[in-house]
Amino acid sequence: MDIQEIKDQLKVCFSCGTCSGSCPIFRVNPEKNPRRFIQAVLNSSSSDISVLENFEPLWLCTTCYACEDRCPQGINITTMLVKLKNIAARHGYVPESVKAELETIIANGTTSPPGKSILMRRKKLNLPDLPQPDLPAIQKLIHLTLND
Amino acid sequence: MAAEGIEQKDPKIGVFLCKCGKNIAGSVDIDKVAEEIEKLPDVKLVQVNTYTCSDPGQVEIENAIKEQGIEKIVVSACSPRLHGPTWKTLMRRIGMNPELVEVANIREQCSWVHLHEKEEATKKATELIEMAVAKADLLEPVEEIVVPVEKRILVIGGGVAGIQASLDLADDFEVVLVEKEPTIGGRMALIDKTFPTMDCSICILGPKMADVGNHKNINLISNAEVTRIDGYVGNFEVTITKKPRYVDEDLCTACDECVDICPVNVIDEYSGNLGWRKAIYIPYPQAVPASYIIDEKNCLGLSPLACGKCIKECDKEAIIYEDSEKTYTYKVGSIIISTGFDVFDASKIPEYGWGRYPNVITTLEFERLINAAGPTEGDLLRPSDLKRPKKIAFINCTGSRDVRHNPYCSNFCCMESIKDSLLIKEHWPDVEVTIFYMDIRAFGKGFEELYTRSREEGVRYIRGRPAQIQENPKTHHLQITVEAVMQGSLVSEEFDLVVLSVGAEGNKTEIPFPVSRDPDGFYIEAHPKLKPVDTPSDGIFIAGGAEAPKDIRETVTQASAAAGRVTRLLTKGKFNVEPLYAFVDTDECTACELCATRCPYLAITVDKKRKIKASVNPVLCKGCGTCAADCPKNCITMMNFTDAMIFRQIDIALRDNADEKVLIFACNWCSYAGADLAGTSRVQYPTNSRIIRTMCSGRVDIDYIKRSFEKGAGSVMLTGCHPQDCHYISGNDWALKREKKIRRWMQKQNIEDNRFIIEWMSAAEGKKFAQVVTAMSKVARENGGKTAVDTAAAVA
Repeated sequence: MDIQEIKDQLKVCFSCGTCSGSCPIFRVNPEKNPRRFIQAVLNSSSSDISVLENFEPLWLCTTCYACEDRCPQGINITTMLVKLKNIAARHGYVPESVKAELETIIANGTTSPPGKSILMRRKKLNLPDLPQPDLPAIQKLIHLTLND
Repeated sequence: MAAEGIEQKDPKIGVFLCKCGKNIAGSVDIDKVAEEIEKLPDVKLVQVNTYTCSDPGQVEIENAIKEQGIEKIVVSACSPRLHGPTWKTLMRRIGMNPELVEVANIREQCSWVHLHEKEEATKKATELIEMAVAKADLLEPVEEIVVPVEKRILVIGGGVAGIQASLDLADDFEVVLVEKEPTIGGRMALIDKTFPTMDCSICILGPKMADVGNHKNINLISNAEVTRIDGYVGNFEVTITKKPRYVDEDLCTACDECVDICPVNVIDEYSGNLGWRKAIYIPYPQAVPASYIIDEKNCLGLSPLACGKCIKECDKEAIIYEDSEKTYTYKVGSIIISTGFDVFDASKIPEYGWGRYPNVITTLEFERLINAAGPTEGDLLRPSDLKRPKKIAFINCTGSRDVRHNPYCSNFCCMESIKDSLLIKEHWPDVEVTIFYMDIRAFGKGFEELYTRSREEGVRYIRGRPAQIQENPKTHHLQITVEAVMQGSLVSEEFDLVVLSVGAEGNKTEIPFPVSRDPDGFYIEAHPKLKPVDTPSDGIFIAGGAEAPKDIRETVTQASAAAGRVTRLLTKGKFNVEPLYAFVDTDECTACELCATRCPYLAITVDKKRKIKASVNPVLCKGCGTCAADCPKNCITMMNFTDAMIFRQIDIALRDNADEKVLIFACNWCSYAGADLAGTSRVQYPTNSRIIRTMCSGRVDIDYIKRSFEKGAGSVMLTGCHPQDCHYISGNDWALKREKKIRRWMQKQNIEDNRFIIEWMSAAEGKKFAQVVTAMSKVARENGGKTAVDTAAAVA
């Protein structure tokens, strides 16, 4: 999906603010306003993706789907935001924090490896061992995805 | 006349060629056309006029008919959609049957669209006239059907629309007014004040309700529904079923004794479910009929000897436990549907919590809350603790402009919130009022002024659609989360009471007669601009919220308009049915019932089991011809558009250079009108196109397409109204269902798939018509010679 196709999906937005009102991130971070983001994409000139360059807060989306569920115009907002992130990533517009997170995954196969205390506690509770991430597979997957 | 058929060799047709000044003569050589047409064996006379439609032109036709023994006429001029009625009127005036006229459209569909190709345009005009002559030869006089009109009206629904229409009509005619509820008055009776003038709603409606109750010409049947409608315009047979009321309306004096003694308390729907009533009750003091009713679901006494307190108390002996359902039948000439709208069910938006949070109410509940006759006697108290709310929020567009529920704007809700905000400010100026809105639509007389006044009174307007409401379970206060989009900032604020401004939905009550509705459940007008209170079914009219969401003023306007339309019909006392209907050749009919499934007007009576062959009621039939096209035995004849006529038209259109031609079947109302528009807009398209008019695309039999290709047509177009726009409700759907069969047949005959197309276009799409014809005529020219041979082989 290119940015024009995404715009076609967003066109019917009448700026009612239901998405932003529903957004759990907007509640704590006024910069992350999905409605404003939709409008910015709609108002950008055709095929210009520089609008995605300065939108770091977009990456805070938790894909909770509250906006998509409630949108009175039936826009697949969450789905569109994910697609926009893909386009942004393809053009190298990825925030440093996200890049760092990616590096952690490449190195460990997970974003946060369990700490010693957690592992001890699991043992005490007779819980089975945590499955180990398949590191080569994850690395291969990320490698292929980034090349796409 | 034509049926005599003995002297078929003796020509009877007169052809009148109009030059239309230079409009036709500028690009068609009329003298040359006349020369060619004179050679036709069926033509007795050809006459050229500069303006056939003018008085002198009409006199010439009249003289020709009177003096030269002409029996049928072909007028070659502008579109039959323009002057078709003129020729019919002329024929009627001089004592001829108006159906013996055929029009060749050589202006809109020839001279105007081929301005610079005189030679080809002349050829085309000649062929079009030949086609018309061939059709005219088969025309037969049709007797006009005149049906009497019963001078009685059925009004369904006794809200303000039904009340207004009934009162407008009742001085001159007998009205049967049927109301589903125990009282007339509808929603207007439950509203506190009306916008923009702030009149007390029941104070202006109450007297009208009483007038209905007292009028000698209005037969009010309340607590009843229309259960059957048969017949047709002027002659409907209606059956009304009245549910038992258990109280004699005439004897009851509404003295209140029975209510005092009744031990059963029930939630009162007439107080917006915010108060209580007894099992024997009157909806509100102004109810008409002013009589009590027993709620059979909750009354104890209806089961023998269980209670019976009220019956002992009633001095008038008005209470009848053994009351039962009654049916009434009437013959009526016309019907007005004024069933109103339904209100959006706010529980469908769970994030607003209506039904779970006591302090979230709808505007209609709010109207009862602040009404003097309501559960708090007009005091503003919130449901959870009966305390005066200090902060009230309104949420507009609840359920409206929302593709998950009702995509349309519900018309009155903005003004209702604004009015309610002013009512609060008027009585309790200290109460803070906030209105959350997406757009304020204050479009009517005095509306904008009311909106301004509300802002001046200090009502806070925040643009933004609230995402959710959360209740504090201890205080029952309500937290609204919303983005104030003007600032782009989050507002999260607590309110004591939240009012949801709910919109309207199509009424779910079914009328036992096929009257078309839109997908939202509202009745469809015969024409949205020019026939806004007529339905596509003759003699049936609509008024008020049944047609679309609207406010009181608009409802009353429409109700009076509908009453006016009914008066027009009833005063005349008779109805001339357009002589355009199908009839069945019963010898061939196998009673397969297929035709009945095609008819949206229930005009066909047929019974497979009892082997009753099909017959068409010509009054109910609107003349689309869909049944005739799909009849497997070909035993239905569509008057004026018979198979024989259309085959002749096809044959002549494709006689010369068939392989280079595009043959177009166009429906009278949309695509043919679109072709006319291409002409009036002078959009040019290739001359190798020939149009055959039918009333509906549903008339286009698969055999017509086959015949066209068998005759070697380069390409064929089947055109009609856009889906949902069919003038005959579903004719285009049935036309579309034939596509598969047609393409399968084409494949077998080795006919290229792209040589046939089904295209929908409206009367406004002249340009599109020209574009599609241009594309298809290119297909025809490209296929040209080679396929003609193929097809000829296939036919052989």
